Amino acid sequence: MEDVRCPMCGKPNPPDEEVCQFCQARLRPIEGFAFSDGDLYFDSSKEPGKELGRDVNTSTGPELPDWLKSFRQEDDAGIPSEEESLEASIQPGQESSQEEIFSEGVELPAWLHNLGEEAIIEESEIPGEESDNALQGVEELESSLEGSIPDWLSNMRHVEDPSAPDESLSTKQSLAGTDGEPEWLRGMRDSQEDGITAPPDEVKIPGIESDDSGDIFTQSEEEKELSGLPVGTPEGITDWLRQLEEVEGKTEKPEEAVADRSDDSEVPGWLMGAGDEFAEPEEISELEEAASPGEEIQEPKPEPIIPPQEEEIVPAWLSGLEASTELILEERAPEVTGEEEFSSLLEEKSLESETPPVKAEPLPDYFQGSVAPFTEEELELLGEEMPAWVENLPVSETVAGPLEEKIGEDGIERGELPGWLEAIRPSETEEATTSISMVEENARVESAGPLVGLRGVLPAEPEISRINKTSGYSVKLQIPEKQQARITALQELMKTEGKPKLVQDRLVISSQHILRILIFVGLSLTIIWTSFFGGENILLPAFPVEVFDASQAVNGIPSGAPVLLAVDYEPGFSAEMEAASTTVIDHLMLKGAYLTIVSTTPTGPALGERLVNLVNRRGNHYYQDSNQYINLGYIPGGLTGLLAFAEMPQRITPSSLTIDKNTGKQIRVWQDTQLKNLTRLADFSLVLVLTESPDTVRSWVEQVQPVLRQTPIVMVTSAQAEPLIRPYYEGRPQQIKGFVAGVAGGASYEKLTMRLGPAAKQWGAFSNGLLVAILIILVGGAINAIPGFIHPTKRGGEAKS
Amino acid sequence: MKLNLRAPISSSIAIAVGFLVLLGYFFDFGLLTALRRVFLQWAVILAAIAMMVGVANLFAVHWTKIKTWQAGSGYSLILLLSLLITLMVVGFFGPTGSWTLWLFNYIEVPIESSLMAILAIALAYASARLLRRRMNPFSAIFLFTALIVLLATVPILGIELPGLHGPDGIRSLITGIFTVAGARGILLGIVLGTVATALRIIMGIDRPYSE
Amino acid sequence: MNLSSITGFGFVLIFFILMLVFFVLSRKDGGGTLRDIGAFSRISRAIGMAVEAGKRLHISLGRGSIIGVQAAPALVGLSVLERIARTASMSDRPMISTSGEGTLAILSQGAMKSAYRNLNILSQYDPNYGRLSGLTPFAYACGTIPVIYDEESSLNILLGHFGSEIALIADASERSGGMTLAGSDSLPAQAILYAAAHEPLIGEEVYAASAYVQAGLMHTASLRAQDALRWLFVAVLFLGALLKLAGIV
Repeated sequence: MEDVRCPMCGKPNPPDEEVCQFCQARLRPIEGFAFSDGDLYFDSSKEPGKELGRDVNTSTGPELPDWLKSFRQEDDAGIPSEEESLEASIQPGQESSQEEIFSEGVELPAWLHNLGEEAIIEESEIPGEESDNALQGVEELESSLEGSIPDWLSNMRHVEDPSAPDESLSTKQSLAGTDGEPEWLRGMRDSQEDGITAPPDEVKIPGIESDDSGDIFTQSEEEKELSGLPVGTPEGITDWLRQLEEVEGKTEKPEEAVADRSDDSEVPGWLMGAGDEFAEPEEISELEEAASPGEEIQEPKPEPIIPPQEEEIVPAWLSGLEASTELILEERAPEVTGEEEFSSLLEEKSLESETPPVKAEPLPDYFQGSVAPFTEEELELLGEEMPAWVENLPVSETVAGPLEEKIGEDGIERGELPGWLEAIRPSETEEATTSISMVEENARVESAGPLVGLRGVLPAEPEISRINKTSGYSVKLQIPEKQQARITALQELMKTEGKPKLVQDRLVISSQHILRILIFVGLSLTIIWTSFFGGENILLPAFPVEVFDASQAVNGIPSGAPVLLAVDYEPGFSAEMEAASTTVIDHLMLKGAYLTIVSTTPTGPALGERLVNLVNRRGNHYYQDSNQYINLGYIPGGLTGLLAFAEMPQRITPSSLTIDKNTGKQIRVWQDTQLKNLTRLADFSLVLVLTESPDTVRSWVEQVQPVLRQTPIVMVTSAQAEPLIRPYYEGRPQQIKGFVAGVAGGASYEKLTMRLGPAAKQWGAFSNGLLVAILIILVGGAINAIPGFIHPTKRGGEAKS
Repeated sequence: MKLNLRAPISSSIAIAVGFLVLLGYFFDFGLLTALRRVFLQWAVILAAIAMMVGVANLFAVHWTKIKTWQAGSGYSLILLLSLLITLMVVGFFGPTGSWTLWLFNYIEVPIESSLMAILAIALAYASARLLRRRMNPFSAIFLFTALIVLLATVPILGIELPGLHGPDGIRSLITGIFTVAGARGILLGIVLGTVATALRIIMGIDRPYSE
Repeated sequence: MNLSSITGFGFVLIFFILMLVFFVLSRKDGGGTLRDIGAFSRISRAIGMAVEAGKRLHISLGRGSIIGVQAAPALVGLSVLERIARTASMSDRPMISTSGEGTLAILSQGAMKSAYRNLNILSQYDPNYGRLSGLTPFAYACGTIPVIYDEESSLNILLGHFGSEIALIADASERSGGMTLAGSDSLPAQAILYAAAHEPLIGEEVYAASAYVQAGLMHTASLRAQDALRWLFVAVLFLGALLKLAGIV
């Protein structure tokens, strides 16, 4: 045969094994449950009751206690799926009835369902037929569960009632009676015949207002108890059931017995005075017999999973329990969150259940006085009459807990629990010493896998798969403050969107305008006053050495020598440049030099003409175009053009701007003038560059000076270019022979040559105007510096005025 | 499929010509030098043509302003009329003709000289508000240096102060050493930037000629 | 060939190699980090504010000839122009570019057209967005000032070769209430901008504009190469000074 794979660990096991050799998990599911994809599912195709071959709904039998009835109802509703149970459990505030809980509740082992079937038995109209049907169903169930029913349950068959519904698998096994009817069921029937009525219609559970006897909590607790209960010996089980037989003879009705034995609780009668923990199968069969035929048969009892325990250990629901099935839900371990959740859910569901209770048939006498096996605390397990077998039970050590208090908070005398039950029951003292996680872990009821219903086991499923109840969140939108501020700003923007904004007109007169006007007035008045009413007495500056060198360079040219005059300044700088260069050109004219005007600016040729005419007038010269000077015109391309002119002057400037009056054509400069003997720029005697831009100075020095060789180059520049020219003058080898910078340089040159010109005339006004400008800068700077100290602004962040 | 060959062709021409001119500037070989000179001549001619294109663009812009009656279209009208008149006068009388020089001497030069005067006022105004705009030690040094140089340029009430004026004065020290040094440093950086820009064009990274 | 020619060519070759090396390194580390220049960090915000306010952006490329030394800052300005044109294309008022040289005017039109084409809004492009303001410095300044006043420009970017006339443009920008970011390779212009502009670019910062507007990894690589060679220059200067003091040179 093929090896059977364990659904938990996946390892192969021999086919005849029931428990995995490696992880001790069940290899074969309990009847009604099946392994699928490693999970345990309830096989809904197996309808409860039908396995028994009879309609359990119509089976009659003794009146069943409420907690058994709940099993029956659970069976009616069908075994819910695990997912449904989880979904039902996590929905907060959901009101669910017991029935809903039952229908969506946790998976119940089959044996527990069978136990419910035994307890909750409906009245059957035709006991005989129902009993036959029940017996047949029991036989079928028994045959299907061959070998899976514990011995104690199988011994119960001696007293089983064939008409009673089969409540457990072991019960089914015990149904092999002489007539085909289980003995235990027969026994139950006998008890019924003796007058034991059906158990009460419902088993009232404290705290649960619903009449629905399908109390999932009860069932689940009972299941847990049952699952945790050790399997007792057949002898022990037989004894208490025999004792129950004695009780069956009593004429008390189950409900009356229940009422007599409990103050505020109702215990199925057939459980009252229960003896040993586990009844013999024969005894259980008696129970079935006591149950009226046609009663609803719950799900068959699940096969006990836990290994057998010692003989002296008895099930709680049979040992010394009062005939009260009163379950105090609120007395459960309150410290356990999961338990509380679960209990609260069950409370809600049970409280709001609207399903009518299922009437349970009266239980056999031997069940009378027994208490539902899932009671924990405050159970009056034994009523006024305690069965003998209970009294003979060894006193086991009990764990300190609230049950040790004889009288509870509500004044009810606490029941005594056996030691083993006390040991597994979570107590408050244990909780104090254990961590919350451990308590939670121990209190958590396994809801999946083969260990379903057990408590305190390692989870079969990872935590992540468990869907916990989510905490409630407010439906109202939570807006942070920052977002709220932005919303407010946006709302304000929206409000002002449609409103027209007043456009602030530009001020005609502002502080800027006033300051500018003041500067203009100050400078203008000073210059005009000095120009018209004085300033000639102002001492001319001493000539610097660069001016002297420039004059020496001009003096050194031969008379009538060709001089290249580059006019590369802008018309706007005419005032300064004319003041600086007029005397130099006058000096050249005095030497009789042939001026060759060239320019790299478009306005240069015109400026050259202007300059020559100006010097002619002031110096009384008569320089004529083409005779004493020639204008070569504009050289486009800037630096590139200058480089080309330096290398190929004839090709770049072949003709002049002047038109020959005789021929009406442009004059060929390099053929028809005094330049006809020149082939390169080095043939000129002097190169005089007039420019205000330091870049132009650099261009001439870098592009032209290398080709000039021995020809000196002299610069006349604006004062702003002086610092950039000086390195060319002071460097060795000297690239510039001399330079004249600005009005001051011109005035120095005039002083040197003793030929006063425009520079000398402007010197007074220039000096005074410069002093006024210095004053304006000082005062204005001081005034504007005060706000700068008080409110320093970042770079570029000037406040608009 | 439409192939756009203009971009790669123009890029190829730009890269090749730039590379040849650069090599021709450093290596004085016969063919290389001749090519460089030819390219330079072409550049000079193209620069003149580009100026004419610029003038045409100037005309078109202001003509559009006049047609659409935009703000300042009156000034655009004056500009276009002046342009046309100048063209006619210079074209008729020549670039060195009397009327041409008259226009230049009595319109062009005074206008630009006036702008230069306005520039002086603007510079004085900017200097006066420098500390308000930019309050830091460098601004203070800037102003102090400008004032010293201005003071040392002209005699103060006809008197040249020793230590301030003259070749040994503080002005000569500032203009001869500090200004020159700073200017050289800036120029070196400008040279590096110029070379980098030129190399980017030669490598085809920057293509201002492409659309 | 003389020593100066060899030295010059070697310098250019080293620069080229360094640019390639830093370009390869930049591709790995994403370009690295550049030192903070406040002007560029504030300009991005100013561009956004101008677009949101429906104001115009104005960029001026100066008057430097494209075939001269002054072309370098102008080319940088063209790179910045294309980058900003993409951002400012969504503004109510399109961006305007002015220049003082014919070739620059044509190139500026091409750059803006390229930006519009890349954004698939070529239909919105107008050649008049790239203008020649004037042929002389002051004429160029006079032609640029109306663009600042009449066109309601809130941000004026001046990147190129400028002379002293930049003072007029900066003054007009301040009077109109706009922000001015300006940079030039001319030293007098830099001195004027330090006093007159909101965000001046001093020294060679103008050449870093394209790298800071993220025009490409090669721009960042070239910036790094510049920094490396600057240190080389410093070392050579120190060495030369020491040799001169020692009397060796």
